[in-house]
This record gives sequence, C-alpha cells and structure tokens, in this order.
Amino acid sequence: MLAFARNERPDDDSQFWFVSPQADFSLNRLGELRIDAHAAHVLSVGELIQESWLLKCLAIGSWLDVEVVRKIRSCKSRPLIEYWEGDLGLASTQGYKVKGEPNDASSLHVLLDLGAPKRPSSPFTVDPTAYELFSHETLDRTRLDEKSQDQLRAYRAPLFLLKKSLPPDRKLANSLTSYVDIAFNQSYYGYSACGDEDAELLVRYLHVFAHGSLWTYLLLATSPTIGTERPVFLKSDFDSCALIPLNELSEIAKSQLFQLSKRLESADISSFDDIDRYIASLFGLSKRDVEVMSDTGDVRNPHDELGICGSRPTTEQEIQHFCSEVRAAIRPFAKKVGFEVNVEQCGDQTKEDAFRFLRISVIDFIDQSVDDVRHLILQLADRIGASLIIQANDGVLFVGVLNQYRYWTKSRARLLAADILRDHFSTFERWQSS
Amino acid sequence: MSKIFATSPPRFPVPHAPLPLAVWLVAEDAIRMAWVRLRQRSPERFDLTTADEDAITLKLHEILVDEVYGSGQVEGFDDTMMHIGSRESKIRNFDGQHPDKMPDLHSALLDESSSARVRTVYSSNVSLLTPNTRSAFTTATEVFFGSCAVTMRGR
Amino acid sequence: MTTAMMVAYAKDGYAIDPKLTDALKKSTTISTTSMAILCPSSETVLFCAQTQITVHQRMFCYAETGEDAPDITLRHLWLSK
Repeated sequence: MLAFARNERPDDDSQFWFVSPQADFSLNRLGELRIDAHAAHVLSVGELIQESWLLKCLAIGSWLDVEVVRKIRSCKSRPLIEYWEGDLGLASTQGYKVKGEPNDASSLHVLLDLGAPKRPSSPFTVDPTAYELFSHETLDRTRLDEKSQDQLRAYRAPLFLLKKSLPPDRKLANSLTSYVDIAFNQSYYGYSACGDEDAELLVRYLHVFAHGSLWTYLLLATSPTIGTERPVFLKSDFDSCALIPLNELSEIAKSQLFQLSKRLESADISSFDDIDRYIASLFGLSKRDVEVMSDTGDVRNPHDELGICGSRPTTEQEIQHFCSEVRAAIRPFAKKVGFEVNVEQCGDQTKEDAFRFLRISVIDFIDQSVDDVRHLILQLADRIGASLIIQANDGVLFVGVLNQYRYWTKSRARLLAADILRDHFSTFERWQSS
Repeated sequence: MSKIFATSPPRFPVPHAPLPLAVWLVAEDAIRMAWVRLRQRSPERFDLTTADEDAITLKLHEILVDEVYGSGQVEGFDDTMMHIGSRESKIRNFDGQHPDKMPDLHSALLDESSSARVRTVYSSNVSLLTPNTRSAFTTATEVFFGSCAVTMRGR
Repeated sequence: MTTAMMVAYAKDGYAIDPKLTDALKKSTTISTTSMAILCPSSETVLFCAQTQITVHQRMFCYAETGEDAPDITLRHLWLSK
C-alpha cells in the first residue's frame, strides 16, 4: 500500500482516489502492470472510518462486491465474537503454543491432543479413538483460563476447530467439530459451546458456516491477509464476520442445518452446493449477489497469487455468455423506448487477440461503412494501458474488452451494461429517432 | 499492491450526464405498480385517506422493495442493473453544506457511485488522438478508452 | 443532476392538469423555463396520471467547478389517492 497525501487533517467530507492494480500474470512477468478502468474509486475519509474493510474489498473486487458485503453485514447478523462471547458467554481462543517459555502444562494431560494423531481419520470431525492423550510437560501458551472455575474451558466439547491456514479447496476441510474434550495447537482457532443449551447445534452451525463459500468470500473481501499475503487468516477475521444468531433461525432452518452438518461430517461432497444455497438464503442473498461472490472468488483465488486464472484468455463459450448477459441487462430499458438490442461477437478475431470485440446495435441496424481504424485504436489502447474500448457510431457500439477472463465474468458484463446504459445509450436513441 | 492518491476532493465533470429516458420510465413504472398495490390494500391494512405523507411514502417504499423490486413485474427494476436505496439513504446537497439530505425514495443504476469516476477515467476520448490519427475518423465516431491512463514499466 | 422526479399524492378531484401549471404560474420562488408538457413515452394508467415535464432555472454554482448549474428537468408523477 502506497499513499500520496498532503500532511494536513482532512475534513469529514474529504475524498481521495483509490487505485488498485490487479495481479496480471503475463504483464507482471514483463515488469509491467495495468490498472483497470473499474479499479479507480473515489472514497471519502468518512466512508473509510465507517467501513474499514472498504479498501481491501475494492482492491480484490469492484463496487459490486462492496454492495454484497454491505448486504451481508446489514442483515440481522452480528459480529461472531459479540454473539459468541458477549451474548452467549462462551469461550474462544487460539490453540496452545509449544515453543517459548516453559510453563507447566500438566493440567492438560487429561485431554486428547489434536496434534497427536494415532492414525488418519475424518478431516471433518474428531474421532476420539484416533488421537493420543496430550503429553507435553510444558507449553509457552497453555490457554488455560485462570479466572474460570474450569481452567480447561477453552478445550471443552462440543468444540468447533477452525484451521487458520485456508486450504486450497474447502472439500479438504477447513475446520472440524469435536464432541469430546480435546487440546488443539496454535494452528487452530477453537470455539467451545460447552454449557449452552444449544451447544451441539451451535458448533454444527459454525462448522457449516465455515464450509460455505460465503465465509471464504468474506475473508477474501475483508481480511487484511487473505488474497494479499499467504493464505493464513487472523482469529479476528472470523470473530468479526457476520453471523445470524442461532435463535433467529426458524425451526425448519435449524433442522436443515442439522442435516447439512451430518452430511458434512460424513464428508459428503455433494453437501457443499446445498450449504451455499442454505447460507445464501439465510442472508437473503440474490442470484446476482452469489454470482458476484463466485466471480470474485474465481479471478482472485487466494491460492492464485500470480493471478493466473484471471489472466488466461477468455473462451468462446465465456464470450457467448458475456454477450447474453449484456443483452439481457440492456434489453428491458431498450424495450421501454421501443427498440431491441443485439449483442454479438465481431467476426475476424482469434483467441490470441489482445482485445475481443463485441458489436452492440439496435436490432434493425443496417451496417453502414464504419471507420475501419481498429488497428489505430488498439495501438492507443496499448499505449495507455486500457482494459476497455468503446467505439460509438450512431446505432452501433463496438466494444473491445481485454482478452483476459477477469474482464469476461457475468459481473463484468453487468458493469459494462451499466456503463453503456449510463453513458452510451444515446447512440441507440439517436439512431432510433433518425 | 494498492495506491491511494489523497488530494482535495476530486473534480468531477458536473453536472453529470442525464440518465437515459428509459431509466426514468422503468423507475416510474415501478412506482406506479407499487401505488396500484397500495391502492388495492383494504383500509384495515392501510388507510390512504387518513395516512399522512410520510406514512404513505414509507408504505410505498416498503411495497417497492418487498413486492415490486426483483419480482419480474417491472422489467429492468431488479438487481441486474438497479439498486434501491434504504429509506435512510443519505445524499450530499449541491455545495456539500448538507451531507445528510435524505430523498424520500432513492434508486440508482448499478455502480452509480462510480459513474463520475468512470467518466473521468474515460477521459481519453478522441481528443487524445494525435492529429494524424484523428483525421482517420469521421465526425460520427467517438472512442472511449476504459483506462486509468497509468502504466508503469520497468524491470 | 439535471433531471429529477417529483412524486405527488393527489387527493380525489385534484388533477395534474391544470393544477401543476396553475401552481407554477403563481409561484414567486420557482423560476419555470418550460411549463408542463406531457411525456410522450408515458401514459395514463389506473390511479396514475400521464407524466408531465417541466424545466426550471437553478440559482447555484457547483462546488466542484464554480460554474452555474444548468436548468433542471422535472418529471411529475401524480398518483391519485
């Protein structure tokens, strides 16, 4: 992060430009970078104070992502830690730390140790027969709760144990449940529901939530580390994420939750899509919201530091989908003023072209001689590092989009359609009235 | 890797370009649809004859959000291209003296908050072309480049 | 912003034509450049009058540029109570 600023106190209304380049595999290899047109944002100091995650969110996504995160945070959710420790009075902690000061750890000897497996077992839930008893004599951090009647409170079942390192695929399990008391090391963040009347379901709830794509998305959009550094997150990232309190869930939703949790614990791979649908419905997310989450997750995968996925050339099928999305987005507005639009890929292009061009026109547009200056336009686009070109003639737009998948997602199609509607719709209106 | 360019408030090209008529017509259709639904409510559920302006607007907003937006009844009035603001949406007045103006109803095109900056970003229109290249275009052609006009090179 | 919408809740028997034009003619504070005309793309439907359009002068400068604000076009949507 590099800031250019005047050394003076800003007003509440002061604004600044936030510009964030993306990891571009092919360009970065040449020691160059490109800044996308949609990656420049004007923000106010006030906004940033209210929503400290804003810069991170815009650095990995677009304004569409900001709207999705706002929606998630504004529904009847609470920051997890306020709910867990504040409302329910339950314990949570990072696991024990071995190296460092030698503090007596003998009181943990009654527990199993997640760090001492006898044999491989389920990655989703603790099999008590698969672990040895805790045997360290000393620890640097024991995580014993000296103020509590039960010093082992943090290790009491039922437990939700979250790996602090994000696996490349959630199907490899990012967390596990335990229905026996167990000690865990600093590679885990533990949440004990011991003592709560809904203890087991609470733990199952966190387990299902953590395996939903919403959680990974929230990490990507708001965590200071995920997507920018190595894929390890802070406990405060999970603590601050939005969770709808269990008592706000209907009985049907609780029953679905239990079923999903059982399937997850049995490593049923087909449960993941159902988990996503379940969580999206809890948070009132629309199809479009889910699409934004999925697109951003694809092109800014935290395990793809070089941006290889986002940098690859787009496929013919993706271009067709993109055209359909743009057409579907503009169509209702065009219909309202009496015309139809057609969106199609321009001919004479190859997979290797730096830009792929679309032709967007009113449906009865008759091809006239349009300036054949594409080679000049492309030279200019290259010179100024453009990611989008719009050549406007009455009745027709030629839109060049940089030939990288990150610019061809469904979300990007909507952003382009909005740009066209806002800034270039008159092209069609003029044709219509002439 | 990110950069912040902090400066005095960015100079937007004002006034913003007018929205196309089609957007107004879609928004009007949505309000009409919500109004018809409100009128069809029985007086026990909502009595239009006795309700004051604020109560009517509140109800109209509720119906817009809950029953019209995204329902498919008004094509285009959904989250593909439009946002609908909360009742408390705050908007700055023309000179910035009143940052908390609250319009009764607020709806915006997708990514509206960035419209000013996108237009600024699109500053590289034909005027950027060199005289030689400009002569290659007829007057009917305009070219917009979506770019921050910043490339950094170096090894 | 150069266009905005005004939504009115009109009592029974209170119609946009001629009430809107009458009110604008009487006003000493609103400077009207163009009196109400019907929007040709809009139509009268159940409980809602056809949208009318007026244009008004504005007397302020933009903070961003110091330039005078241009006229504003208002679209009047009258909903009958």
